Amino acid sequence: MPLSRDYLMKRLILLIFVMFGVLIITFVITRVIPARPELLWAGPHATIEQIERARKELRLDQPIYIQLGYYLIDFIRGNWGISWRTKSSVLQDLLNALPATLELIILAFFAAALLGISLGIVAALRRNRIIDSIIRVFSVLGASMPVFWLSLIALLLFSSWLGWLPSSKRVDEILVIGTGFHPITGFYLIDSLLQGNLPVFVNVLNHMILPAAVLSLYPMSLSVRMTRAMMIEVMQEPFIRSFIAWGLPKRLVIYKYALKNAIVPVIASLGLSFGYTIIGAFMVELIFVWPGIGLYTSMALLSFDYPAIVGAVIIVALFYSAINLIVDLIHAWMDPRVRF
Amino acid sequence: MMEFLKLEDLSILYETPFGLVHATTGVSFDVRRGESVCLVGESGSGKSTVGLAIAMALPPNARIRSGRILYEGVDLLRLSEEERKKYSGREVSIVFQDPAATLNPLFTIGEQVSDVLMSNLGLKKEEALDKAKKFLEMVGLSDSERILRSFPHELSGGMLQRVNIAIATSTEPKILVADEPTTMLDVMLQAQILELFEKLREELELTLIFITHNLGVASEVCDRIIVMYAGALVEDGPADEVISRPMHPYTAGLLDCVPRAHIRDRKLRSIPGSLPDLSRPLIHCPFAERCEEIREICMRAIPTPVEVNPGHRVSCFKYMG
Amino acid sequence: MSEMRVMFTLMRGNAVSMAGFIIVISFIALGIISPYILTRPEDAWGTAYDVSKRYLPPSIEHPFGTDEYGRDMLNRVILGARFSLMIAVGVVGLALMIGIPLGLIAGYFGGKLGNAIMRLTDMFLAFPPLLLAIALAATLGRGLGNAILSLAISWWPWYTRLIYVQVNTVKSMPYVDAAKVLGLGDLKIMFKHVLPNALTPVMIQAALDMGSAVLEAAGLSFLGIGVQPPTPEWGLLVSQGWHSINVAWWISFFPGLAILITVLGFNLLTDFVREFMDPRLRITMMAKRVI
Repeated sequence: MPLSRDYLMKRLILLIFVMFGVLIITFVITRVIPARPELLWAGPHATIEQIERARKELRLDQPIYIQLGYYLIDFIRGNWGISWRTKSSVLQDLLNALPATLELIILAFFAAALLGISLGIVAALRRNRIIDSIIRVFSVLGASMPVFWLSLIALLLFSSWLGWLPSSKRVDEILVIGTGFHPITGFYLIDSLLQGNLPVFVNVLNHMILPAAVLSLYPMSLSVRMTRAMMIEVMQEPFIRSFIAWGLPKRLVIYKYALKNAIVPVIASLGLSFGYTIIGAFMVELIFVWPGIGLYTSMALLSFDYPAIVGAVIIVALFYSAINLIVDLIHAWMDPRVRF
Repeated sequence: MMEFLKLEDLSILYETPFGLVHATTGVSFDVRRGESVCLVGESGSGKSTVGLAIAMALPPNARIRSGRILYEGVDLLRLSEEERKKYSGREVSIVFQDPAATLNPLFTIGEQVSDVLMSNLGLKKEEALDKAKKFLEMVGLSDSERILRSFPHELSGGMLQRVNIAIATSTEPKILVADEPTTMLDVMLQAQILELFEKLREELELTLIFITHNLGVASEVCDRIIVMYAGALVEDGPADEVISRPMHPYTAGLLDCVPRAHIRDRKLRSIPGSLPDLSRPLIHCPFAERCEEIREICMRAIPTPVEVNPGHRVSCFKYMG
Repeated sequence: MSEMRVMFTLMRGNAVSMAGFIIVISFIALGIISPYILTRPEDAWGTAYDVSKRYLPPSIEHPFGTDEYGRDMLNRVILGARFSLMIAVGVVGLALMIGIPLGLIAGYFGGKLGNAIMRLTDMFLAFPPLLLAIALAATLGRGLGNAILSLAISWWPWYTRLIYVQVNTVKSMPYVDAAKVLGLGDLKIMFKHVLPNALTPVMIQAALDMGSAVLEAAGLSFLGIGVQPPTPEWGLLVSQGWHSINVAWWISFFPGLAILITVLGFNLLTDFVREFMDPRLRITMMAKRVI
């Protein structure tokens, strides 16, 4: 079921517009709305000179459209400002922090999607039996739980009280020094495998379990609920009965045909689910001191580090748009009715 | 000699959240090999239920209260899962009413047809697609390559119904049940599809069970007409006889209802009253309350079919002496 | 409106939905009356502190324990309901006030204006939930009012989209054509015919969304850019208990539990309403009561 080149081009152009829209909105929020943007930009402890410098940097004496122009140019050239907390380039800080977050989010999200969909299918096929009730209770609780609270509880339980799992960071320093581990891609799981460093690999995994598990609960619950509902709905569709009447074995009807119809809307909703995961990561990284974008942004929020906040918002929004495009493409690939 | 298809005293009910619905009561008839039989009746007559039962395509909330469906001696209603697979799709197949709803919108036609053929006939994918092409052409879709690559939403209603018919006949079943296959199509298409059924019946030597509410369609397609009312079989005879000399008051009433343009100054007739309550089993003639020729016994007992003329049965106390 | 009565009758037969309904009603009631039922208002409002009573674990006298300032947590959590309710109603209400007119205009008049509005909506929806609110809260400043404003601005696009779809559906209904034929002006048609019908699903969605509003506001407060101390908003309470989590788990635990139960109530209710709206499932629900 190939997608036409036209459709792909159309979607890519749409993405560019959306990203442009993101930049415009952030511009309006950060430069137009505040009465004195230079105060925000320079930070709460800025001297008069620093504020003046900020005024010039932001070109605030120019008309709005010129400001916007420079804003876009600055964005493209990677000039996203200096974080007054870390004293380094915001863009550089963000890029450094990105792999840690990606590793965590990707692990959490795929666990959530795979487990969530599987559990949803089980619940739908064993509807109204005990396992179904258990799964439903679990998933409605998971969808109601504040992730920051869960993080604290999990930390308390598994780290402080039981001592099973570490409470912070990605890897134990001692092990890094002892085994000579050094990051290549920034994805520690991959890096440790590339270097054949098994102790670090296990250690990193150990550090990841708790934050990833906590982060995955909310999107997993959403997936379970939606998959279950869609599966039940699809099983009532007329084509199920016609397939069985035409002699197709039940197994084929359920796992090849019904499953696909049920999963397509779930996959379409994964984009939003991913959005929740990203935001959840802010809090999880903060609590588990996981050195990713979430931690960076949360620290920026706590210390009024405006350039860092803005930079983080932009990068996250752009990333989210790209993810949504991919999800939409997968959706169109799976459902031929969507491709206009 | 064993009958080809024999329905004995078939009583089926549905369990709904609002209670039971007695869809059929004591339906019995035989079908010879190669015959085409029309089940005619209004909504709620039970005609679809009988057809679905023969095709083993009843919905999950259906319950067999009593009766058997004997196909070459085997009771189709009491087969195990294993045995069932040998019959449904292969010996008996079905064409449904809504052509778009019976196909999965996310898969190509080719994928779905080939799965049917592979599951039923054990063919490999290549062979299955070849056979599919053959049958698509047989039903009048010469553009078979393109159709196999298409998705259901890309085809029109008429084409989809032909596809359905192709799928149902591609396994070369001996019995084909057609559940109101033309109801959702316009009149022009209807004529074409009916012709198609005629042609297929001859070429594949099908035994056709055709379900419709339209007496006109019935008279065109079938050798034999079975009229059903409120779940009971009321008349069963050769098509032209039933149409020209209806025996049962209901059949006569139905024929009377057909508007005849060439007869002027004639009021539009209808049968007063409505269907009886199907949540209870029948205890007397279902048509009694609406019948103009009602007698005392009609409200006290259920009439059983009597052969009034050769090959022509009626369930009516008029003929039961 | 008789639909509502049917809905309530059905709900009484379903224990889980009933639980959800009770939770939601309790939350709303608590939110309204909590300032008047406090046993230690100074603790709740944060105006008092008694160092001798710091970090007391849960007991009969302090069922939820005390925090680092010796303030009774039960009182604080109860008062917190009021702020959560205020935020929930504020956010949803404001989002509706922005989103509905925009969606209505876009849906009914369509054309260039409609397109422009929907493009704007898409641009806002390009941000993940809460991200815009974070950016806004960081810009506008902290505090309850700004938190409500920030969240509302990130929320209105959902309602605009919802109403847009509803209006489009209703617009093509025969009774709208009938009204046009009778010569009713556009504005009148919009208010009298299109709006009431399009509004219902959106209002129901909005009412159920209050749970999510509580959750998101708590998140903002936890990150420090929402409500400010000493206001006892639940998210803020959880963050305040964070640094003493190892010695006094109850400070973070109970406020978080309150959030969980409240959101759970809304989720259960949402599930019920969704099943009710689906005609197939509704029949099963009704039948179980009739027989």
